[in-house]
Amino acid sequence: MSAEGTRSGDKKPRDTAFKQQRLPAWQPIMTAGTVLPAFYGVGLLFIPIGIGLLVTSNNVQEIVVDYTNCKPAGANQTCSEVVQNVSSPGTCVCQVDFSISSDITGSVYMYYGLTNFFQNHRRYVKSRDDDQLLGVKQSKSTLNTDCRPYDGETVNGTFMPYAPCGAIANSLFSDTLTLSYGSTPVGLINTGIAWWTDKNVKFRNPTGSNLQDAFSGTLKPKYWQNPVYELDTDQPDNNGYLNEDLIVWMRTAAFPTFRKLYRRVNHTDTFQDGLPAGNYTLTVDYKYPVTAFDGTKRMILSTVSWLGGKNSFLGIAYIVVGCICLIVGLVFTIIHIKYGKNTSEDPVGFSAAAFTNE
Amino acid sequence: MGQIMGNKNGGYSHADNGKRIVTPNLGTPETDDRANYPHYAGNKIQTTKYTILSFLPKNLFEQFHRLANVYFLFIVILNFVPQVQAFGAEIAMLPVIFVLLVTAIKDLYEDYRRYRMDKEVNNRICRVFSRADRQYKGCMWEEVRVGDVVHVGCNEMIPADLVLLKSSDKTGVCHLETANLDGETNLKTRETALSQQEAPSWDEEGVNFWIECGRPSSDVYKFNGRIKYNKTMLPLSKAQLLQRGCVLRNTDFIEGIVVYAGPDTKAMLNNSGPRYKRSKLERQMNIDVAFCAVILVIMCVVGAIGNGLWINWYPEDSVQLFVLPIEGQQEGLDPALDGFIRFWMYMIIFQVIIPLSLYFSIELIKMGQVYFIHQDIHLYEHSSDTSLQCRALNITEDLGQIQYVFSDKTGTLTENMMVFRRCTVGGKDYAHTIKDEMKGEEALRKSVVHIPGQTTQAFFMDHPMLPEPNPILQEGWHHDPQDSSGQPPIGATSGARWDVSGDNIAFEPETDSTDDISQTTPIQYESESPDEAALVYAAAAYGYTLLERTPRSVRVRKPDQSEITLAILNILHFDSTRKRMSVVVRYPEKGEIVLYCKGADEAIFSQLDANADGQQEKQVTVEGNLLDYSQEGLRTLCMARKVMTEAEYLTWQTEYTKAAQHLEARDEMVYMCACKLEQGLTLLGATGVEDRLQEGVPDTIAALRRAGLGVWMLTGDKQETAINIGYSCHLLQKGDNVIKFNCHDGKLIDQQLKEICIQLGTCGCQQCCPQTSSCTEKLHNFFCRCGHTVEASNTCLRQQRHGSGDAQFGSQMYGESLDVAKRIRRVVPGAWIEANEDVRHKQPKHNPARLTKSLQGAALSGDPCLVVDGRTLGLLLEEQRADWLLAVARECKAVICCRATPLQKANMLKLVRERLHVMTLAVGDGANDVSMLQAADIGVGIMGQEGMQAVMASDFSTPRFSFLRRLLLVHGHWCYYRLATVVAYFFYKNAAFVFVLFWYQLLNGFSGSAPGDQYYLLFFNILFTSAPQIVVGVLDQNLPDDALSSFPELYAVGRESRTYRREHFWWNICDALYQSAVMFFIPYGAYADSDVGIWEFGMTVIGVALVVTLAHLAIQIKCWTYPHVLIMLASLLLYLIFSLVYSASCVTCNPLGNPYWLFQHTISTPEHWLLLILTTIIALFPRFLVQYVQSVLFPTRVDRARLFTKRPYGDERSSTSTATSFVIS
Repeated sequence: MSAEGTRSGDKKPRDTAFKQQRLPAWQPIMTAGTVLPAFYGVGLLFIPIGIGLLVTSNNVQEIVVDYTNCKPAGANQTCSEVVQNVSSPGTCVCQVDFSISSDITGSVYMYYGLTNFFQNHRRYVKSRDDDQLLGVKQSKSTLNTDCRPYDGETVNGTFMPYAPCGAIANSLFSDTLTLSYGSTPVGLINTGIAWWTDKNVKFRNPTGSNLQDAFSGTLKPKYWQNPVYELDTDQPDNNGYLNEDLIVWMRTAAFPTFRKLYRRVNHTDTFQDGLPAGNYTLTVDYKYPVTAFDGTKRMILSTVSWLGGKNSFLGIAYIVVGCICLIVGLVFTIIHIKYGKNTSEDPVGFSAAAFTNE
Repeated sequence: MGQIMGNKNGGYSHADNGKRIVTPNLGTPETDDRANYPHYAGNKIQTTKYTILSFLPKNLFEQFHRLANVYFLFIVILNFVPQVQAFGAEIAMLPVIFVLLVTAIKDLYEDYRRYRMDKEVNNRICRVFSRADRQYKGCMWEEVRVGDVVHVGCNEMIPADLVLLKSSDKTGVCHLETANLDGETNLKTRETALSQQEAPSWDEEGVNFWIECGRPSSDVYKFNGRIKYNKTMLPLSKAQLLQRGCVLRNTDFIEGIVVYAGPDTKAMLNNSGPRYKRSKLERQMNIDVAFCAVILVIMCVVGAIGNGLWINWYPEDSVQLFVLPIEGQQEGLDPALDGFIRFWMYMIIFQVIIPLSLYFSIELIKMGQVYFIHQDIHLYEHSSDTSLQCRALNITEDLGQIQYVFSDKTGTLTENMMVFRRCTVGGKDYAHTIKDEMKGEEALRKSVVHIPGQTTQAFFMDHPMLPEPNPILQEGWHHDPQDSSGQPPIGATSGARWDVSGDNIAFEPETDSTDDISQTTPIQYESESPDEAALVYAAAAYGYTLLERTPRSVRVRKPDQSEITLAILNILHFDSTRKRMSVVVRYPEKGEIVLYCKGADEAIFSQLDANADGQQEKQVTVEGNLLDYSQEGLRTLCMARKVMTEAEYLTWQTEYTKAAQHLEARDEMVYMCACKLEQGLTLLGATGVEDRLQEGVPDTIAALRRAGLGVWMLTGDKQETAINIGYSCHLLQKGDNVIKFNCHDGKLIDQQLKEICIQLGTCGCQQCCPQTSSCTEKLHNFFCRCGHTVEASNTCLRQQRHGSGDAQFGSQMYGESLDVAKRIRRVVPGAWIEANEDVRHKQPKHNPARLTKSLQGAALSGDPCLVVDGRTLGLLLEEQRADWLLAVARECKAVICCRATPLQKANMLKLVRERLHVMTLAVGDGANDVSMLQAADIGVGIMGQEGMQAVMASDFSTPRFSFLRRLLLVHGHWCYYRLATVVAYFFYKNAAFVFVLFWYQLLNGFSGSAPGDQYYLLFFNILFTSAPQIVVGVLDQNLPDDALSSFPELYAVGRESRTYRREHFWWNICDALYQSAVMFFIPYGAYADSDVGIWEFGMTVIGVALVVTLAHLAIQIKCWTYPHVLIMLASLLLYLIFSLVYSASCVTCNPLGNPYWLFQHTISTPEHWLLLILTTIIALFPRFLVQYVQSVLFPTRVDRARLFTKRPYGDERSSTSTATSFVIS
């Protein structure tokens, strides 16, 4: 027996729980006993979260000023009409007055918002050269072909690439926004508004004795009025490709209606605790045409919560889902109590009769 | 001689009229005759698909036969067109190349296995005569050509189809085991084509002959030809043909000439090659893939049109800000052109809706399923150290969808071991004792073992018959002296006459001389028919030992140790029409000539001498006994004898010889002659032999029945045997309405078929009564003709199958006239009235008492069972009757086809499979089942002693029939459930992901922007979300195995394809639509009018999609084990790690997404996590709710079973008792 046992045991499968598919298992079965608590659990969890989110969102203060059609004082033409022609823009400075009814406390950020601007269009999104932005000098052959037709121009027989190339850079938001509280100008900081990694890793100026030299052999993008090395002449480390306005713009928005961080309010002196209530004036150096594509431009002042900007969607969604769960749970509890006995956990339900009926 | 030589040289013109003329290749190497037959196939076989050179192109070609692969190739190529390029061209190729490569490696490995097997067979050595060397020379099988003279030794395999020329046996016969060919283990004899004296010696220069034979045919039982030798023309039949694959037994050597080689041999022709089997689920799935393609095109068209409209709508001046002009088109945008280009780009972006990873994952899943089937300890048989093997890796889920099971009988349901159980002699029933039975079985076991070396002493004759001499009559019943069970010697004084008719018996004496055999030495017999062997063993146990059997005589030792030698004058072989066989012997002392006849009861009863004294009473008793026997599932045989005068015999003998020599109508005339002689018989008695069923067969069949499977038995065996086995394995049951359908006349069969249809109430079907309206009318007319008026109801007579109306119907009918009974062929249990209209056949007589009794029994009966024999089947399978046959067969609970040839089996199966559109499974153990196994959706080969042919041709091979229960009910159910779930999930998952991308098009001017990085888009399905579903596909269990096994009804889930149907596909697509909307618009709502970047948003959406799809799978999992948990965590972890590394690794190498630090940034925002939770809950809420409502309010069987089987953990004792009672109920 033993001899045969060893011989014939050769191919015998091993009797392990895994191989015999008898692992200890949890077999979730949907019964009132397991599902209803889940409904209540979700409901009871979500409603407080939702309320918390809603409160947080409501605490965010936000001022939106649409200045698309602002008019320079005394002029009969809106700025948008003046700058309509993108290729030869005129200059137009206009002011918009607005008031803040109650103090905005905490750090305040200034955004500009555009609508109907398809920064997420496929060709637009692609139209950039990350190597160029990293400071690698590009020739015609190495330049990303996706930059076309905003890749460069042939000047005197030599190809000069735009710096930076591509549609995104070409359409850089070019309005200058300043803010004054009564007559006191509100200090605005134009750094610290981009991702740290973008500023410090992804964007680099090409090497050169000075910035202008570094960008020699390049042209300013078609729609720009100044070359890239004059984006912020005051701060060398915010100039060229390192300019944070450019960096922020280059991070293309997800939707056609979007906002981008423009400035941080410098909370010193009068504005130590935020922006006090009162009358403010937004002064716009109006260069950027949007009416051509039925777009609008907004200036947004907003505080920031841990959750970001003002958006009550999440909070409401949580509350609604929580409520639905509770209601469904309640309905099924009633059904279970009324009819549950003969449907759910009755082993007789699984009987020969049940088989023959089917 | 010149003529012969001429023939030899003219051997090129052999192919006329499909005949082949074969002359021996005896020439010297210089005049190599072997070149004579260039257009006859050589003996080399090749079953591989590829050669080294053809592998790459052919495999690629085959892979691209898969539409999906072509599609993906197309997408890859499309991606190389700059204008529509959506992804990095090289990156986009990776998934496709990966899939193609893995499949190619798999195919290569499978083909290599076949190649090795072929090589092994082709390189076997045999001996071919070479005249140059004047001897046999070793030669590989593949080198053998038609016309070669081959020498085969004992226990060697026949290398090609040979005509036997010479045998070591002096009588010119040899013994052959044909197990590899037809699955029968018993030995067959073959005779030399030339008489032994004339046998040529090959080295003589002048020796020549030629053979003419038909073209190669797959019919194993047919061979016609003639041999011309020394100016005599001799016929050749299958008795001279040694078929490739058979093994020579009990004969020292033989010599034969090759007539068919390699692919022309019957063995290879019957092996029609493996069919690529595609599972039902996969076929269904492919259609759904096509639907996916439709959805894809719709989305592409919508996208393209949307794009055109957007360009039109968006102010023209500004549009160029975003929609940069297409290359080569410097200025201006043509919405139509842009839309057109966008169409193709969308096709690339949305490509994943056609799941590339689906096919690949499914192959992996099936591999895993196969692994676990192999590992199942319940499918392992200890005694033979074998376990169930899956040979086809791609049809595991078909195991769960089978609707019909076609089973072979011998060796599949039974062990092919006969044990003598009971007999009735002279009107008295003798039950055999247990001890004898054990002994007989044991001896029988030994008898199937061939003892090499003793083969020369074997005496193996075709159809001998051993009659017991008269003295028994006086001595009465001889009780086995070794029987010490205390049972009194039965019938010792009754004057019973014990008559053993053993035919086809060979026995192997232990010593050289039969004279030396002592009482204690057990003799081992070998027989073509195992039940005859059982009879001879039984006779020996009672003291009548068969000592020697030669073609002309039989020597028997009687209990008193005296020996008697009977001369055998004639043997009238068995044929399926007569259903009996006879032997004419002459007793030595008085010279008395006696005919002994054995056969099926009705075949004997019809031939009895009705005028003899006491015959009627005897017959009634024996019939009663037979009824008991057959109800016990025993194989019954009736014995009768007839004493003839010398003159009578001589007259008949002359006639018979004349008939036997008749060339055209030989069979007919021999038949008539035999019938003439087998008349006026005296009934001796009957025997009951048990054909042992394999362990667990009745249970298995019962379980398969409960599972709703139709179980059919297709066997080459006799009808009676088949029916007996049918009863013993519960295929047929007491009270079943067994319809035997034997009709060998093409004209009558239609009428009979129609009548059976009417009987069964299938007349509603178009096939039976093309003019449906008149069906009842017809029936009405029919009964009117018979002098009846029957309430012809409009509802067909279906219900008459059941209930009391049935019995009344039958008995009325009987009361009117036997003729009616005959015509209507009302068949009642236990007493089968034949539907045999054979004109040559005398109608069986019916015992009124028996019939009445049976008709009363019919009141309880219902389920009709059809028994068809091979010749009838041949007629029924003809095109115009096929539908009728199916209509009848569908109504029957069980169908038994007996005397069926291998191809008939296959054709029957094909008919059912193709016409009824059902899933079929075939089980068989012999090479005769090969065609059937290959024709079936699933072929299961039983690993027996019958060679490996069936196993090689099968998709699954199992050591035991009873393993089918677990294989189908447990593994089949699981595999189907798992795969169906996973496939449905696959479609959902891919569609959901693509729909998310689609929603985004609404917000980006239908530009084809995708928020995610291309790596995520391409690898989302292959990397991050494929592993969990593979584990689920391999491991999940909707129910534990014991529940599935003990409640076979649960099999209906797969049989009726309930888990995955077309509507499931659409529901999943709808769910995908909803979930994708949630996955997209909830984050959109949360991020609207914020400073979120496209890639951040994309990262969140991809994260959400990942979590939702995984959670979706999680709520589908019915049985969580640690692999499930691990793989879920691993999947999430993989995503996390990949994203972290990928986001941190490269600053500019991925220009499109430029994901540097993206992931780190995204997951650091609370919105990301809040959205993850919220979206998952909202997305899965409806499905969860529907699942809950369904399982609580409309529970399926599986749901109930889950609840039911869950109990034991809580309340062990009560539940087991419930389970037991449940099983019983």
